[in-house]
Amino acid sequence: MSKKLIHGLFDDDDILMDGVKAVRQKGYEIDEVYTPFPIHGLDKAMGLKPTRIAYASFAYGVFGLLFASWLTWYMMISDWPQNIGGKPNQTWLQNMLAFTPIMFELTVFMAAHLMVWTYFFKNKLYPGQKAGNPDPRTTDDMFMMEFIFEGDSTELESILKESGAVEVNVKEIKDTTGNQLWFKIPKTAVVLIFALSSLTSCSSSDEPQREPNTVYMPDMYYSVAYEPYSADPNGVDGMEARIPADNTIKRGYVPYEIPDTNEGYQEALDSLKSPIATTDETLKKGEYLYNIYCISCHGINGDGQGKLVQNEKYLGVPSYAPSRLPNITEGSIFHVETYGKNMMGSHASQLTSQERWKVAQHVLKLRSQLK
Amino acid sequence: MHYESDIREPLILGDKSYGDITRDVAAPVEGKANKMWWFVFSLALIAFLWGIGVMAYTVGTGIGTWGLNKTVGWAWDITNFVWWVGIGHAGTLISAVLLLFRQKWRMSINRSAEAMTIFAVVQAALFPLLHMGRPWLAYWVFPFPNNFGSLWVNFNSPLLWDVFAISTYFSVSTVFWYVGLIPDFAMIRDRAVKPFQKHIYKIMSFGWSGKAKHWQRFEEVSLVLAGLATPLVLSVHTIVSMDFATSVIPGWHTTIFPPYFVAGAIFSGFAMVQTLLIIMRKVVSLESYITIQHIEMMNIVIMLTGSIVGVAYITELFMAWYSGVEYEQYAFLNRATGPYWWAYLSMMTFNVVSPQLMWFKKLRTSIMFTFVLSIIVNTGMWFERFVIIVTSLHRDYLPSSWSMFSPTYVDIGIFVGTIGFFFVLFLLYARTFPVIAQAELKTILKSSGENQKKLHKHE
Repeated sequence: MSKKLIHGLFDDDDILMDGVKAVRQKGYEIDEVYTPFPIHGLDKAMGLKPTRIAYASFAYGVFGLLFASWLTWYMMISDWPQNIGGKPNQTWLQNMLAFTPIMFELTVFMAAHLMVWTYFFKNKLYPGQKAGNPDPRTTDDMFMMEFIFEGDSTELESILKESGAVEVNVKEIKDTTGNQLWFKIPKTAVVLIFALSSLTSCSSSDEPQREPNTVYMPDMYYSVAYEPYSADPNGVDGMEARIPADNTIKRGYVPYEIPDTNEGYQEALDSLKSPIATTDETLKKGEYLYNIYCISCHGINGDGQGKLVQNEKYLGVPSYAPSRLPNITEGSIFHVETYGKNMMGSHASQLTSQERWKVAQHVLKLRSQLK
Repeated sequence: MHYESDIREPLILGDKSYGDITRDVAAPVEGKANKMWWFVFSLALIAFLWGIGVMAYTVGTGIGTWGLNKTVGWAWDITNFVWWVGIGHAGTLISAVLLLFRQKWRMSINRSAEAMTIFAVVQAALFPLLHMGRPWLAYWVFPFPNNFGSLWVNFNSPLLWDVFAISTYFSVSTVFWYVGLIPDFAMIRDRAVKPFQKHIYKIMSFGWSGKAKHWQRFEEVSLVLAGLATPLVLSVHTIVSMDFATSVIPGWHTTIFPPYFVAGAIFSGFAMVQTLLIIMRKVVSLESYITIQHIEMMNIVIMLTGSIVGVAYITELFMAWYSGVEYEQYAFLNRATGPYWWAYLSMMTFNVVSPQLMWFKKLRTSIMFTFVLSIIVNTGMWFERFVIIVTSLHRDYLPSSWSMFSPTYVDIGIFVGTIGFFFVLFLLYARTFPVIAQAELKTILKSSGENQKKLHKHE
């Protein structure tokens, strides 16, 4: 016996649904139904299992969330922690709030894209794939049941006809109808597009005339005197502004007069004393600041094994231990914090002098715990 | 099976069958463009080419060609960026949020609205790219293993969040759009007579067959994508607003920004959809599908979001006064009465006053009025971004550095160029893509078609 390909064509979705039910009632299995649009309930009527693609999408979303968590942890915490705006930077959890936008976006990204890839893969859809529908009318207004049938099909054919099939075929038919209309754009639309572009593009003119044509009492408007900070041939230094008097300081600034030299370092080491007493409160503040500004290189114990050292981003960070740095005092620590030393940069712009003294207290505390 | 209350207006007018929908949607693709299309297309192309010219000049010479100065370091570029991204919000909102709410009226407008979204985001993306100055290094914004000491991007920065938000939004919107397009490309493929056309649409339609299992997956994928795209679309403008809100400039540093920006984005996005669809429905004879009712629905959304934006403006003023912060108070006083008072006044009139006219049914069902208003709204929304950005920056804490911003021809040229590029893309789309999601539309013909509704009435 040879196999037959039976196509029942319907011209209405409701009639098709009734037909599907009638055929199934008689015990025939439908191999495929081709429709121009999704028909609700057709999958159930045909006995198709529900799709599990939404579960797949959930799994992809979870993957995206985990991936984003790992990405932010690895780059911002583990591999290269950075002090950004003086915020804690050593644990992922403390930084997580700033990472939520990234975590959300990557969750959506993975859930959406991987689901669509799965959809294409499961449906075998890809560019260049041949059209899968046997009859081109099934993307227009025809609905088709397909049977691959062995044996006598007269009963099936009659069921199809009774349930309202407009055609029952064993062969494929090709039919294309062309219908062409003219593409018209009314003139008013063109004028309005013009209006749109001119309205938005001319909202600011190229060279606006800012100065009025006449000025009342121009001497009052245009200063005869030199502007501050402008060049002034008669000025003391050839400029209008004068250099501030010696020992002028900006507001709130505490001067530090020991110079950034080897002698200066020695002077700080020998004689510089902290203006603030060591208390639990100052130690706590010093530890807090240390754990933001110093920890990435010097490490939480002050052993010079911060993450950046462990990851070999920077090398040569010494331990505070007396065996490695036998000769440091709070004065020399403050000096180094202020000016930096070797690879280390100045922290004077990030920490006030009060804060630097508190950090120095914490460094000494760490040093006493190291061997 | 397909009953719906008579009180609901039909969404498909006239005596349409499934075949009629197919023919009406395929007509603009199968027909030929007339002189008018070529005329408008040429205009858009000229604007686009001019845009390319000034963009090349910007890249070659540097962004010193723009009108920026020491005080106003962000101006038209970011204004245009936010404007375009905002416009790009309506598409996904229509296709995702309205799908979740089962609003049938989205079906005849979602395709074009999404196309508009994607084309608008393309324009938006050009501005940060150009502002980088060295666009060929744009890939540095992505976290990839590198030899610059393996230095990573800064995940704490709102600007990087923006990179992730916009690229996720753009790619997910495109995929959502394309998944819906596949069955409609298949329809055009199956009707195509010329071999070249047939071949192109065969590639584009990925071999779609319309099998029951495929449709089942199609519907599930659409639903899940809608569920994913809904928070996504809200997140994008939230994150855009954080570019401003996380900085400490008076006038920017405010928690109202995320909801306020999202409402504004939907507001301008719907206005752009109106602008485009009112022309398109006429040009490609789709008045039966994009009806007055659709226009009215969108006008109601415009009215609602316009009112939210209005409330936000007034809340900002109130908060400036209530905060007691002198600088915040001055920032808002300066906005309203300073040298940029005209921009503030335009923003207030166009965005707050004009949408209130939509309370009148006669006006919101008038096509001409809607069209004019949609353009007014988008102009107003451009001014909103300009006001927020330039007036907050141009008078900083140091009066000696106060300055004004005036755009150069390069600033204007890039903006006009993106408008041209946008219309080039949209006009090409309207000639080659099925502009209505016809497969989806066919599912509501029986419940919301005019002839079907009449039929049930007489039963």
